[in-house]
Amino acid sequence: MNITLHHYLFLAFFIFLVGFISSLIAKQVIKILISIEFMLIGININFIALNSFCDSLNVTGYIFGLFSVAIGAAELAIGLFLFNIMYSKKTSENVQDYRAL
Amino acid sequence: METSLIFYTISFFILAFLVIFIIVKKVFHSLIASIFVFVSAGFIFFLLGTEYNAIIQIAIYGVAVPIILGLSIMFNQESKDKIFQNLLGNINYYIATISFLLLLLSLYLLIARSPSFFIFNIQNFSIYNNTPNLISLTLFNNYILQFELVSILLTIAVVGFSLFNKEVNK
Repeated sequence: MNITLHHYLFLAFFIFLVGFISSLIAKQVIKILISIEFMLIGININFIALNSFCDSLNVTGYIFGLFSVAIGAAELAIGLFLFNIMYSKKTSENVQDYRAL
Repeated sequence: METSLIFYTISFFILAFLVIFIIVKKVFHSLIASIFVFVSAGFIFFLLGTEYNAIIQIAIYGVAVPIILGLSIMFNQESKDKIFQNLLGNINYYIATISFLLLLLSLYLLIARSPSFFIFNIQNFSIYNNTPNLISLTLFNNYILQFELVSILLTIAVVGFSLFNKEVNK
């Protein structure tokens, strides 16, 4: 049985969906940040699968995937930095305690 | 080994560890589950014919990001004691280690007995044999401005961290 584009798109959709739902229901800040990374991975799989199946002459999707990884890692580092600063003041992992900016 | 078998195995691992990530309540355990998801996504990229993206994915998301997240969890004093109690005092840790070693042993025996099973027959996507070379050529010819913008963004983030940290410490 051949693996088609739809298999990869369905897998990417499921990863994105799990990341989205988890970012809504999770209570810890770190778990929410990891869920956002899952959503980015789902998008990356979409980029790369569409590039591989639809346009194998160019590598635009691969390069967009690389940019997405770089920006996602920077976003995670900024989020963690802000969380550590807030944690030193409130000493709580629960996202409900950080309502007031 | 066919592409479909590899794809379904990796997808099963991804879905299983995603479910574990949601179910588990402790952050450290969900971090370990997320490492498996990140690395498995790297294998998916490898299946799609982009070794370059796969290596970047495994190096950044499979190694660097979990280290940052693990350090951030360890800085939190509340969870620090619980993690070490669980790792050292809980018998589940030893059971998990033994089962992992048994899994490695069974994999070794499987490879030693039937090496033809592990000859990969991966679908070839690109007409070029050298994808990393093509990516670098396209990146530095057509996307040089975007590349520089991302590098400036990362530099601003690093400088901003240090400046912001100074202000917070004051």
